Amino acid sequence: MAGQLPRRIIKETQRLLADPVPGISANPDESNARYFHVMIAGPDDSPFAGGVFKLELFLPEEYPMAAPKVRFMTKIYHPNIDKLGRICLDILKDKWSPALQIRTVLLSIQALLSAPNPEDPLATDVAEQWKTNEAEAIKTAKQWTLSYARQ
Amino acid sequence: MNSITPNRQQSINAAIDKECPVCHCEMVLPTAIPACGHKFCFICLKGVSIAALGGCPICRGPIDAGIFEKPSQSLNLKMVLTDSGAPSTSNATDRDVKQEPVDEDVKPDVNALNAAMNMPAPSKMYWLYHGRQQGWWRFDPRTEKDIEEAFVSQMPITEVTICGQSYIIDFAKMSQYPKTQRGSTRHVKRVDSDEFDRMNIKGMAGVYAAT
Repeated sequence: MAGQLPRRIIKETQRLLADPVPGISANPDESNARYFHVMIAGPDDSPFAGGVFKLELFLPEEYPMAAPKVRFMTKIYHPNIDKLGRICLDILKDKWSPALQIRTVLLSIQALLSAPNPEDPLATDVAEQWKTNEAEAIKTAKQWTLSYARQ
Repeated sequence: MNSITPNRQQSINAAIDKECPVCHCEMVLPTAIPACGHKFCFICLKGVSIAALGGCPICRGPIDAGIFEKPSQSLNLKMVLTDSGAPSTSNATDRDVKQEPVDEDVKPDVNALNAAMNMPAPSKMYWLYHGRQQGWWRFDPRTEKDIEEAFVSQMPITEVTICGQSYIIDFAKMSQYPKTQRGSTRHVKRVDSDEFDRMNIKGMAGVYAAT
């Protein structure tokens, strides 16, 4: 049998819906309350401005003792996000803490869009471009945003 | 002997505190990490420790495993939770709610009043689990509430999460075992208040009642 949905997940969901983070929406799937459809608006100060990026977020059975699983569904040109949408972010891996939550995870991802870090890459080719020719990299990121992340 | 709670709280409701950063519910058996002082429910903190998540959830400071050895707290073994366990709405929406005058003729709800004073309702049933060696422990009140609800609605079994681990409660056999490992079975018991008083309960959720 399926376990009851933990109170923490119910509370987090209610608070996310009642008091959403600016620029971010997260809605639980109708058939699976552990699966969230997420939209993050590209931050104004970034090459992703004007784009809206779709992500999926899943709360594993061990949550909050294990991190949510988050992935970009929208193609994005970013040194810390690979072509499968996987995100290189410490709090989603070994720096997870159960005091973090969906809200803080999504805020961190939003911040990652504002601050690409080519020194800790996941997409090595993108990171290389970011390091050797940042202007060109930003131009590509803007083009991808226009092509794939338009509302 | 490690002191697992700050000494300041000595009221009968010492075992109930504000929201736990791990379960986002009213803290049950509040337990402070000695090194940094950050507080969590006892079973939440024990779950964090078992999951080896790299120390304190707030500051990542070390968790002294000694706090899980023979822990004891001054606690009311029959305590009930003040929050219903039901999810609360956010502060933001609470603030937006217009204050209605409350001068209607409302019948007092005895159960709600008792809960407000942390007093159990007379009909309250308690759920106990057997110790590894001997004696009985009370489940923490939140887990107990889930078990009772499943029992009352005549489910054959229910699943609860304790210290981050999933357990099955089997009502036909009145037993509990880890979901992934049927071997390690314990007896469970449902008792009323009088029987509870006769049983010399050891403590709650692994925390001994300090005498």
